Amino acid sequence: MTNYTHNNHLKYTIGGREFGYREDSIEPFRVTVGTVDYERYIRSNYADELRRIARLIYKDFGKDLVLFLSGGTDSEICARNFVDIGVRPECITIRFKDDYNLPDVNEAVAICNELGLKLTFIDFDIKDFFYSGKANDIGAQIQCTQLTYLMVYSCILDRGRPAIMGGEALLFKNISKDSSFWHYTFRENEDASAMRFSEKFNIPFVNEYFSYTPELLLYYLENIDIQALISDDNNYKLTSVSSKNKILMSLYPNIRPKKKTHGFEELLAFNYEAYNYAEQYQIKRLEPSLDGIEINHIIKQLKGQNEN
Amino acid sequence: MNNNDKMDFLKATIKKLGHTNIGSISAATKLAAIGLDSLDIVELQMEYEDTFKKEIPETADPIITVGDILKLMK
Repeated sequence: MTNYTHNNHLKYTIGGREFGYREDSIEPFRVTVGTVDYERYIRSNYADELRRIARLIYKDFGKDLVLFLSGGTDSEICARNFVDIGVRPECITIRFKDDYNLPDVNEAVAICNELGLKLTFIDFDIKDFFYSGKANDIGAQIQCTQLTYLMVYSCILDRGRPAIMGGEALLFKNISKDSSFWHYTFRENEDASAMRFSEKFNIPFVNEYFSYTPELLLYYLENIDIQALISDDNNYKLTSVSSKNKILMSLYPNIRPKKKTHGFEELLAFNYEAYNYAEQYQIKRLEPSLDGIEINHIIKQLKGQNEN
Repeated sequence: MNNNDKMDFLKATIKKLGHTNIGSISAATKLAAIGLDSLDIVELQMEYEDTFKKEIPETADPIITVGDILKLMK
């Protein structure tokens, strides 16, 4: 089995099956993370750990690795980490027909120009991908209905080379009328499908650069900006995106602030239609378990504190 | 492992990476001068880690000379 994260510390189960597939609607989806090596944790830091991850991935994947560069902050940081350790991966940017993601494409070009990285474009007709049935063919095999992910999987399949994507460690605030809490997101349909994809098609693929080691996750969760975010009950924020960008920009002052886009802004209705279509052919999840881990639980798991 | 052992290991590994211009290298020798590119330096670090089961710490400092690598080999 490939390393989706370092030593596969980040795991999910469906109905108790590790890295498994859904067999019925009511099986619970569970996510766990590994425990930090405290000696390492104490002597290192977030920036060095990011670079260590680049080296760990290079060690696993070798010179053939390609980096999917969306033009966003996360994949830019990945690119910079590889360059920092002396590795210059070929970057791939998916360029949508009709220029739907032109701003992101321009960002990717600027990043590669600055870093001296080779950039290859894949011209992609997302509508044809869906209407031809190709998206659904791949999605049905790995239980994924999210078109953006299926598009990337298709491109990786065509290339057949070990691939890396940014993979933000996203925190999300759950709100109900009685209480609210933050959780680390790891979604069955998206993030977990990347692991199923890698296993099914036997192509090494890291979609979790920012969760790659327990140490990196704990540095992040213990960062002062993240702690401020999750401990302030009165703020209006629902995700960690702006805090994350602040942290990354303090590490890499050269990165340009970007508007968060995904190239699908003009395709939202189409995406919704595609999602609903694909969902008809897959097992619907009806059980209510969290797509991730509640913040207090993930910190305890990372610190190796028994939750029983 | 003393400095001579480290240097012997470095020379052998550099040779293995396909660079033969290693006759008179010293700590002051620039890695680029013996033909090593950044990827070779990564390979060299990994070879050290695999051989001696020791980890080279991450550093933001540039690795320019043979001496820079020797310093990282603890």
